Amino acid sequence: MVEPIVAGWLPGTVASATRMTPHGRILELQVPSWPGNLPGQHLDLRLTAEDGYQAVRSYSVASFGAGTSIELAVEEVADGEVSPYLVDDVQPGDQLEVRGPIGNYFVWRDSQTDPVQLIAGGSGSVPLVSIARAHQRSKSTTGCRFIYSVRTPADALYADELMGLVSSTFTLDWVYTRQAPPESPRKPGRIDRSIIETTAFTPAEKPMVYVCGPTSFVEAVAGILVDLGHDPMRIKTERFGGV
Amino acid sequence: MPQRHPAGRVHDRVDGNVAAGPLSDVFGIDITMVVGTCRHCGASATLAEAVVEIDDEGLILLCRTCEHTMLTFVSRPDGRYLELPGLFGLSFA
Repeated sequence: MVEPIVAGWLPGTVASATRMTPHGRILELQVPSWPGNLPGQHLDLRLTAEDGYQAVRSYSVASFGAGTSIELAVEEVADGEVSPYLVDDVQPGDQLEVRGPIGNYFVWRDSQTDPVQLIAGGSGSVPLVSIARAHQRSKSTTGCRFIYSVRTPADALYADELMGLVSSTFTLDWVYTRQAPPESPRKPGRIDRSIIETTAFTPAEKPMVYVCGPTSFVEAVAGILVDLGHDPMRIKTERFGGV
Repeated sequence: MPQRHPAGRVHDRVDGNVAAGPLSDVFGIDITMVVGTCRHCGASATLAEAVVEIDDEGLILLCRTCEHTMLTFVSRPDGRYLELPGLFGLSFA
């Protein structure tokens, strides 16, 4: 299970940058020596300024599998040093470096046969979109359920794509924390026990659960899952800090 | 995204997933599935599940059970420094 990380930093180029939400863009990077990645993995991205100053940040990868094209979703973070640059300024042709793929814990492999429960807070959706895409591609007959908490409908990354995945084996439930659309069955509010109890797989169905989001979101959701009787060993978590 | 590292010197509290990149410089492997045993309370867990506090100069890895410091890593332009004050051991599958 111990796998080497590709040594050092790999040079890459921004191939495209597409605005997806008012605060987020999709970046496609071309990294000729990228070895491919599993659904759920992340990478470290290094930027070097003209004066030599370097900044390293960690981003989940939305794409998966073989190939040298990497898709990231980048959301502007208030007071962030790097993300406004990536969201607002980076242009096709710009040079970057990446290290990865990283992580063997928060990953889904198509050899897994258990139901898959995905729970995202904000931009924590990115690695879960990668897993949802891979699960769909695998033609798995076990179910996949996605609970996605966002501030408002406009803030949802990959909303159209996820809605297009809905089928007899894929469900999608939204939690809106600030502003819900008129047709929403719930008033705006934070994810809670009743939402998880009514929309997620039950402990008896023995799902593998992936929770990704801000630290406080992940702690709250993991606590609810354990209270509901989910096996802590089957709850995989990834926190990205912030509020 | 995840925007795991905050801007500048601000500390952020995340988990061991984000430590795997920086620590690959030292260990040469992906440490997320390596099981660490806390010297203080004896709890064992994959390092991915540890508490990590991170900033632009390095990271501290804490036991999720008792919150004692297991590992400290600092990386500056003039060199790197690793300390393992609270790790009883690491086990690899």
